[in-house]
Amino acid sequence: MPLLEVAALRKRFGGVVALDGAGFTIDGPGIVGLIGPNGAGKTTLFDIVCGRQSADSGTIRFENRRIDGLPPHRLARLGFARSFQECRTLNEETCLDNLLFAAQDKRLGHGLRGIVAPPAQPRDAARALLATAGLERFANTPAGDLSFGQRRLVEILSTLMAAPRVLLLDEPASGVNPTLLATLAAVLREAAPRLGLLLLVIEHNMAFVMGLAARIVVMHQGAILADGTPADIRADRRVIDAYLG
Amino acid sequence: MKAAATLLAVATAALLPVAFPGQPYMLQLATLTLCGIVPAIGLNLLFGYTGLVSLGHMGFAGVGGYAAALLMKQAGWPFLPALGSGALLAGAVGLLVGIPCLRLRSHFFIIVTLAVGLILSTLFTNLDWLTGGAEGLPGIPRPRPLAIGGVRIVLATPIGFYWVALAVTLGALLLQWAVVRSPFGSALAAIRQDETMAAARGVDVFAHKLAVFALSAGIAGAGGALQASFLRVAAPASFDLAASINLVAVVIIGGPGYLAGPVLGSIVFVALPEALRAAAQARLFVFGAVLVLLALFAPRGLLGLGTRLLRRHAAS
Ligand SMILES: Nc1ncnc2c1ncn2[C@@H]1O[C@H](COP(=O)(O)OP(=O)(O)O)[C@@H](O)[C@H]1O
Ligand SMILES: [Mg+2]
Repeated sequence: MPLLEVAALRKRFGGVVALDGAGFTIDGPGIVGLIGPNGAGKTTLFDIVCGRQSADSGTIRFENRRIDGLPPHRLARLGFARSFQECRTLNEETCLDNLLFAAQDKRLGHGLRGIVAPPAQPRDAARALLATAGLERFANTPAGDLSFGQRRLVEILSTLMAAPRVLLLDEPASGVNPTLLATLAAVLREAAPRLGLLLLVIEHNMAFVMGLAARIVVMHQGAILADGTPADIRADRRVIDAYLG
Repeated sequence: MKAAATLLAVATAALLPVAFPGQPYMLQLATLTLCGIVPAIGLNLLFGYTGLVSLGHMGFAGVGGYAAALLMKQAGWPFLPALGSGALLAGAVGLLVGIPCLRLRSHFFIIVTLAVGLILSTLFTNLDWLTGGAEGLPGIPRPRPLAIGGVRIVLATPIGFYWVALAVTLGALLLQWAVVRSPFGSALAAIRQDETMAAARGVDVFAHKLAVFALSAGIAGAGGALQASFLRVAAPASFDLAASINLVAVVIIGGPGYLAGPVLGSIVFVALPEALRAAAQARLFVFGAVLVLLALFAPRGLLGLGTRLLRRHAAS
């Protein structure tokens, strides 16, 4: 039974065809890179998988269960988590609270019961996770006061706090300086197998994504252009012409 | 620090009638201020913490006020059950109103809350058989004496009612505090800061908005019930659009999203002008100017301004 099956997704925005039959199957946990030129439809594909947008047609299955059309919060509860290309953190909350919020049970009933009996919070785990990324000194700093690259790390660490099964990262390396980037790669390389995670990474930084992923999917004009190991992709004539060039 | 300040404030409030003996006007002013704090707490949860503006919130306070008035006057209910039922009914009306309205985008939602406030206040004025029309429902009986283990506490006197109002206000403040620090409260704060992100993290945004809208309407209803039994009349002017706009001003002035915001806002908005005996027109003008200045220089109200100044002071 495949873990995630995306089939024949189509999506139009007015006259623009963002997705034109894109699809792929992922058998189990691991790290998969998703690359392609700007406008190829990568973000739109993530948005649809995570329920932020709905496809015009096509199907998505998670462990054989149809999940297309589910709202984002239902997908999150099934184990989907994502980061955003534009980077989204709770800027008024401290970094620690960003992580604690991600870890919290989001069901309304649980939240309301917590008014009377506040649940325990995994503060130590959150601090430890911040420390793995060298951010422990910002634990009590509002996320909004951090640099863009640091906020990106906080966003990604937050997604990890929820112990997701499928994590989609949209251009995690963009805006992150080389030192932080090495940290990020190390955090992801450690977390993915530990959590039994399927990690899907959209990236333009080839060194970063090819070093991280065992498999690369290349998108071009809303469809899949190539799919294979990093070595295959680097040698693929069509990919070189369309993108790597 | 915070706990000590809170304790001090509560002690001061509790001792106020003792500190000003034989000054009924002071006591009346203090009670009126407390009656203003409670609905402001409701709106603070909605607006300050969740980021949803409601321009008709005193309409829900009116539902609570009229319901409690009818229960005490016609059915002879005691004060507390009447207040509780008024709050529940206001919360239920909030729930019903919220279901269609909260699906709207934020600026449409604001307009619709204005319309809801207008509809409710029109109903208060025109459903003569139920609400007494323009005259309202006068002659609400004072709360009966409380008997705790042989001790009889008279609540019908001005001092007695002040303590009743203080107890209700403290209850509402306690509820606000418990909500804000709960996981429900964190989800509300996340919705205010970034709805898309909150949803991606697993928050059912609509359900949370509906829950806080009903809760906030319910608290406003309790405030309306308190006010009606203090004034001994449920009257349309207490719950009209102007009152709703004033409530927004109270929350903005005090500091939206601060636990003490409604307290400070109500003191500044209700008590100060009365104490200074400013004419009604001058008061509106002054508050218009203050609101503009706050919007420009202190988007998080007086408490936000204070925190910022303190931080700057600490940094230098
Ligand atoms: N909300 C939208 N409205 C209109 N056009 C959009 C929208 N989102 C994406 N597009 C268009 O769809 C195409 C694919 O965009 P996107 O998925 O963001 O590509 P990528 O992430 O691969 O750069 C682009 O041509 C983009 O302009
Ligand atoms: Mg993109």
